[in-house]
Amino acid sequence: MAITAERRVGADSGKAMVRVERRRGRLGRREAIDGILMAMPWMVGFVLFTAGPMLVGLYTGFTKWDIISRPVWIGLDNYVRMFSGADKLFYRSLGVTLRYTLMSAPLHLVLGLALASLLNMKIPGTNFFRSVYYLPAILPVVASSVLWSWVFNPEFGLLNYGLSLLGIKGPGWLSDPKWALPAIVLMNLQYIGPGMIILLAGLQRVPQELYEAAQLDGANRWMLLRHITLPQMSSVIFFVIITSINSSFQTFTQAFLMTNGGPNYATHFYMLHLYNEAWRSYRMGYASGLAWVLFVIIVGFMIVHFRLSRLWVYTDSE
Amino acid sequence: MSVGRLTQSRRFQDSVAKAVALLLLSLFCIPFVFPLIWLVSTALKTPAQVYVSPPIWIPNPVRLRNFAEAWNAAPFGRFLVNSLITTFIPMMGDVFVSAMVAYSFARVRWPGRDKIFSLCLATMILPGIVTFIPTFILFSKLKWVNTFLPLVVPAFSGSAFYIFMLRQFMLTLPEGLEEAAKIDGASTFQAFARIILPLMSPALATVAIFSFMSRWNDFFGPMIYLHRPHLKTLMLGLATFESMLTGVGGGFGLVSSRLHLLMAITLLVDLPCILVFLLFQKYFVRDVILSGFKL
Repeated sequence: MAITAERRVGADSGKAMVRVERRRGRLGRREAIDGILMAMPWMVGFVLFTAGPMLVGLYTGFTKWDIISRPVWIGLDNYVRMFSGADKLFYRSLGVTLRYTLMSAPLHLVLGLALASLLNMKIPGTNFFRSVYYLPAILPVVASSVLWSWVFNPEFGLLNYGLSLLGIKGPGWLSDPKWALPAIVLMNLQYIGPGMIILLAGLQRVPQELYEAAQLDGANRWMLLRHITLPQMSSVIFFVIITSINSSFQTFTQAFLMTNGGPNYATHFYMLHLYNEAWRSYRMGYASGLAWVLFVIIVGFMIVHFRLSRLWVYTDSE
Repeated sequence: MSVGRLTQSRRFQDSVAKAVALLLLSLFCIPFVFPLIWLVSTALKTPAQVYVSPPIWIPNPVRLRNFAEAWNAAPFGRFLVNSLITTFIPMMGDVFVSAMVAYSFARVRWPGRDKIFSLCLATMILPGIVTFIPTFILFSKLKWVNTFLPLVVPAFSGSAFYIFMLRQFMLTLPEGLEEAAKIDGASTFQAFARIILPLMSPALATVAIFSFMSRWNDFFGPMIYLHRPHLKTLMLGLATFESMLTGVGGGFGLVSSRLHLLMAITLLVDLPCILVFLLFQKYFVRDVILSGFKL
């Protein structure tokens, strides 16, 4: 912006340019101050609501604190309690959350991509289908949890009725320790919409010429997908994976409302464990430790994902 | 000749593929549509029609009274007001403060700007879990528990995701739009408010809608900060309406004599979201969200 403005002026006359330059210096400083002031709300918010709390949480993770009395420094005791298995629910809830993420995230990506591809075929009614798939994602999780508790009802629920029409006797879902977690995976498939829309927009941006050229060379559908669509889509896929890992790891409301972690801790998600420690048992220090552990795990996943992505994410510059 | 045949067979292949796709898309609608139909249907039933197998799809008689009865079973009017407060006030911050910050990142030059913006981007993928507890401690020390402040005040620092979206949009506006105004002595803020902001309405609308959805639907925030009954939002009201019911609580299949009322109130709580979605559908699929990707 600056360069073009100066060039334009420079073409007019040298003297005017000097004047403008001087003015620019003054205006530039003023602009810088204005700019910093306008970005200030975010910077203050970052310190007060993000960076500050993160550091405070790191500190309270080494304390015993019921929020009313003063925090007491106990060194690594909280982390020892976690990793030694003294808190039996720590590994349990971590396991539940990992299993959930491994079931849910790939399903969301594959189904999202499949639906996006179907929607991209320019079939009549595409807009209608797109809305139908998106709609459940905008409904409140609380409302959906209530509704799906009813859908999962073993005797009178919609799901087992549907299965019975196919000749299958459905399980007890939320009341069956084996099926409660898959039930939540199933329910959360209704949140496929936003990822699907992003993938669809990605698909629509793949240059059509690439397909045409490849088809002239005799490429079949599979080859088009493998060698054109996926490489062109890799950065979008990368983003969708990041967001779905992030949200899977922090799943809370559905388990809190539908099963309260049960039956037999089958849906005792990590966030639920953290919530119980912090807001039911008032062990703020221990819960802060839990939060930091999950934070490190999620960031670890993201770093691995970033590293791996160098092998498969395609960028124009390469 | 052979080329003609080739295109003909390709065309045939294409229409078969489209028919299959249409079939798949329709089949996949079932799990998305039927639970909602089931919700509407249950909300209109008499208690006797609820626990019936096979299920009754079209209730007879239709019991519209369920809605009023459910609404009056708890102070839902109060909850609605609380939901409106905790949705629309923070929304102002989400929209306008984010826009102002985005403007600074997009179109104002200042030292260190791009580094700060990268930091802002990084917070977007930062798992929120790590800040919940310390922020709660902060607000409880400030005696803000049982007020709306913890849900309202942070919104006025802008939100990374909206800042990012709005910045991307601002970068697409032509360069030098504000120059003339600035030469005439307008301040940076005036240039933003008078020249850029009016051009932003589609992007601002997108942010407003996203903000509405996330604030209206929020459960965790209200749950940890609002404990007094008269402060509850609709989501809290709905969640506690459920636990008031008999036979509910941990590993259940939802058995209750008031299930028809529960479904009626669930439908009422869903309704504003459905309306917003239907009215502003195009904003949900706007490219703005995507403009950040290098493709």
